[in-house]
Amino acid sequence: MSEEAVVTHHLRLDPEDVGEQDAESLLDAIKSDLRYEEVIHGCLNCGVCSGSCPSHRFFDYSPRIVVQTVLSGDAQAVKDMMDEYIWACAQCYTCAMRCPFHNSPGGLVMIMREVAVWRGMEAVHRLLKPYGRVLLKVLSIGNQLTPDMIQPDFFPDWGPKIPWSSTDLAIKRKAIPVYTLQVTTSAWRVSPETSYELYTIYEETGVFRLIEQIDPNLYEVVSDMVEDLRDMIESSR
Amino acid sequence: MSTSVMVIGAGPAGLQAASTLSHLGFDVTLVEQQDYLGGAVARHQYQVLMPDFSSGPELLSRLIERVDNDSHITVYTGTQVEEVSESHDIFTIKLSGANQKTLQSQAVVLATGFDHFNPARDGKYGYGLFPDVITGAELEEMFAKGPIRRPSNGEIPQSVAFIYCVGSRDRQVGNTYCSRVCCAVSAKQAIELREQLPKARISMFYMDVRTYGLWEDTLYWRSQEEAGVVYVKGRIAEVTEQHGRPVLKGEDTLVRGPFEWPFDLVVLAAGMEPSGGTREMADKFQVSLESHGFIKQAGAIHNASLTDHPGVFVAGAASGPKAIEDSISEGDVASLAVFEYLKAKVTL
Repeated sequence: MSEEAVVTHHLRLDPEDVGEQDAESLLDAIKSDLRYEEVIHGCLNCGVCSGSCPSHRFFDYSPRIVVQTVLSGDAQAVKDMMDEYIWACAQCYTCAMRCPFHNSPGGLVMIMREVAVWRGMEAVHRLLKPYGRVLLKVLSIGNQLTPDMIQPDFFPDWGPKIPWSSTDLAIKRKAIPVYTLQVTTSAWRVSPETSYELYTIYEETGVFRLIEQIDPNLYEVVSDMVEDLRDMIESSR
Repeated sequence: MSTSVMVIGAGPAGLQAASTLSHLGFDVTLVEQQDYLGGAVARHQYQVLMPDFSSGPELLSRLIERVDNDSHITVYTGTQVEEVSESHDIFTIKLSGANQKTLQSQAVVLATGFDHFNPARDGKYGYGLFPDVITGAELEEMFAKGPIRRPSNGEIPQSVAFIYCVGSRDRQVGNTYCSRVCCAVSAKQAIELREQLPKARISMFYMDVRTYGLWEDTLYWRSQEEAGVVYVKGRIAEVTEQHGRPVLKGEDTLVRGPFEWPFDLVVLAAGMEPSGGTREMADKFQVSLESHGFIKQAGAIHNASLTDHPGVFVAGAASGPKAIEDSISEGDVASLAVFEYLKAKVTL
């Protein structure tokens, strides 16, 4: 990556921009993203992305409409879309696999979501609320889902065996003949050194600043964790 | 020494070139790797041709008879070009297969044509998996053999879908060009189908309908007005199968949004690619290809038949997708270009 490219990407995530929700500025942030020219080349309006899209089948959501709206340059329409519309995307990237123009509508949605998060749009607070637990796991140990998060009520799509799967976790995990998997509070054993490195990455890339904006309470919890772990590691050196 | 020209490929373009070159006074060798003449028209037994619904077999017999009855044309079928060398603007060409001999030619016309895109290369259409998903060329073969029936169970299809742009205009399969004729050929086929299937639902799934020029009303409009064919704007995303019928999944981008739609028979309008022979001859005669893999027309727009190798000319679909009528015209264009090229060198 060239130095200029790094700077461009960094500018998009400039802390100065947090909270800036002017429609033109949002669209500008999307189009100036480093990945934009990789994910959108043009659009033939053929409908293959939407035809392939599982969300299009069941919700008011069309990846073709997302691409067309961004290409139209109608900043207000793009902003409106970032409030709810784009959050129906499941990020499966079937659209990208099929698009005859080699676009990635899913990739465009990813950029739009990141801009929405960084700019602290109202939709983000609302939409990310149910993911507080997941966020905490990602931030603390780098896992998304851990065995102790499996509760039958939240996973109806996992089928009728889910109640069985969620009981006697410790014993069941011990039965796995792989040492690193014999845990329930993380997907695999995560060493303190790994978390230490993870925190450094989050700090350097601005993720912690981002969390501070979206969820101050979560940020406080995480900050304490980071501080404790750093004290522990650095004092043992 | 007589002035001899070799024409490679005996489809419409090559047959026409051979005949016209002979009229212009040259001795012509027509080399064809298959053991029949007529190219794609013969291979798929086209009965009714786009755009004018004229007879395929009649066209072929006219082109072939002229070549057969011409004492200045030698036809070698089942014969391949094995080796080419060049010295003082004379090509020495070694043939293999049914006629193993070495000939000399002062000029060469490459009329090596196209292959249809093989839809099995694009998994989303289920071609090769579902018996009722066929190509347009296979539909032509069905027209030649008898009444249209579903390959899976032999029943009369009650609904037929055409899927446009299969293997064309698609970066995913590496072909970013339009194959030019498939829209109009599909409309022609739908009109023909209607005669056999008065009650069937016939639907066309398209991104754009490119029945350019005079084909607009004679094929696109006519298919709707006279044959009751319905056009749905939305490129098909995938074909699956349910209860023994292919199901088309896509987005009706103009009217109705997402659909999953079962049909009895699905016809893939597979596009055109440079044939294996085209690529091979381009290599042997050292002519450049353009960016899509067809033979590069070095004369640009003022002479479509010039390649970037002096003495080597191109006609027909070897230089890009085109209709039969255009291929035949290019057989003449290439012949005149050969004449221009050789008249400076020899006295006829």
